[in-house]
This record gives sequence, structure tokens and C-alpha cells, in this order.
Amino acid sequence: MAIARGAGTEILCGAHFEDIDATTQVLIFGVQHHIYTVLNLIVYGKTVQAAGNFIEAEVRGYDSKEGTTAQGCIIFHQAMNVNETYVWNDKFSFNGTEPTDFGGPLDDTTKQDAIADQASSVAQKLQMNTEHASDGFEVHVSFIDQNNA
Amino acid sequence: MAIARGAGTEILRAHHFEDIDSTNQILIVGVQHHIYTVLSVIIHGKAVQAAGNVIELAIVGYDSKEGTTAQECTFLQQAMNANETFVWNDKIVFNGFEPTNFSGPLDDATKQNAIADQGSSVAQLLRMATEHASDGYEVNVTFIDQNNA
Repeated sequence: MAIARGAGTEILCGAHFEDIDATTQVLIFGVQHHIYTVLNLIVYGKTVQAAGNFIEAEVRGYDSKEGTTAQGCIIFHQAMNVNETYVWNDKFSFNGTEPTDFGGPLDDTTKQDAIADQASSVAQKLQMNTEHASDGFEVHVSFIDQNNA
Repeated sequence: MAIARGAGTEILRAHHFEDIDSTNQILIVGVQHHIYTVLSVIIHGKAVQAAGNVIELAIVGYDSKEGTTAQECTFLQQAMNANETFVWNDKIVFNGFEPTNFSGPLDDATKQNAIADQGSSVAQLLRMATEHASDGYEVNVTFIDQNNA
């Protein structure tokens, strides 16, 4: 039987990606009323077009300062060399979809609850890209998916 | 169905902010009889007006030494450079509301219980600001919200 991942479940997930380059790659795609906790991101520089080329990971989602949809909120920006591995090992969470749009900035509990309620249909994502089209990074992401649907 | 966040619940929450600068930005707004546990604050220096400009995180709330409302209690001041990420990864707890005012300092169990009872109408906040108006920081905050209402 496949793992149960319906409403009320909390499951451990892992996904693997080869040859990530300058084209943005979604690592986790949000679903409404889910909460994702990123456990770690392991990034290996298999091909680095030029020493020191950066890798960048971000949450793509709602900016609670300006009240703007689909903004990139950078988690890290790291220079890399070939055959190096970078491990992001600090847990953080994000919601599956954005809140109903509110006028920023976040300054009251109604807006704060809107974030928790995820009433928008716009998915939030964890995504990554590198500096150059000829880079090739191998990426492993581990996360917890809480399904509150 | 959206996540249940009524009385008796404990939920994981996450907020994202772009381009935080020297204007105070509330990261979490307290609600009476809630207790917040900040799990992490991830701060990325996307734009830093001058190398070494500082970021600051504070709880705005009741000062239990002087018995004074709405005081800024700083727990982090960190110099930053562009493209650096700072991870605050030490759990810190704060109440949603201040206590009914007492004469400071905290020196008996009655005052201590007043803090737990959150009898005031003044919200406590987690707040952040940077050194310069031209700074721009990306911030992800992850926290647990216990609703004891």
C-alpha cells in the first residue's frame, strides 16, 4: 500500500534533482492547506561553469511586508566550486498557498490569520537556480508535509 | 478545509517578508492567551547599503524589571554583508499579550502568574529592523502558535 498522504497526515518526503542550472527549478510545490517543513537541502557541484558561481534557494510566495503575491524570498546565496557540497541544515516552514491578498505590511492579527488560512489559489514553492546555464548541480531535498486539508 | 486554529490548537506557522529596511517590521503579532515559540528566523542580505550594517530582532512587550508596557527587548544585533544569510535557530517564547500592569521588578509568584495570565489588552510583538533605509533583507520566520483562549 502506498503511504497515506490524505487529510490529517504528516509524512516525510525526499526528492532528488540532477543538473540544476540557471533555469529556476521547483523543489517543493505547495498545495493548499499543507505546511511544509524543510529539513535539509544538499547541493553538490558536479559541474561548475566558473569557480565561485553561486547557487540560490528561495521561497516563492507572498511578501507580508508589501502585501505582494509571488515574490522570491531568498534563503541562501552561496558561492561554489566543482566537487564541493553545500548542506543547508536549518529547518524552516512555508505554507502551501498564499493568503487572501491584504494590504501590507503585516501589522494586525487579521492579516496574520489570513496567512495561516491560505485562502488564495496561488501555490508557494521552494525553488532553486544557479548562476550559469552550463552549471550542473545535484540536489537532494528532505521535508515534512503536514496535510491540514 | 483550512487549518484549525481555534482554542486548544497548536499549529505551525510561517511568514515571509521582502526588503525589510530601517522601518520597523512586525514579524509576529500577539493575540491574547496565545503563546508563540519562534523556531527560526532566516535573514538574507539581498541589499546592504554599507558593509557591516546591522540587523536587529526584538520582542516588543512588557518589561518585568521596571513594570513598563511596550518596551523593546532586543535579542539580536548582527552586522551583515550583501549575500550573507544569518540563521537565528534558538527557540524563544513570548506571550500574545502583556500582563496586567504590576510594579516592577518581578519578585513574587503573583506577578509571575500575571505574566502567564496575559490580562492586559496590549499585544506583544516580534519585530525587526535594519540600520539603513536603503537596506533590503529577505526574512522567513517559522513559529508555533499555541492557542489557550
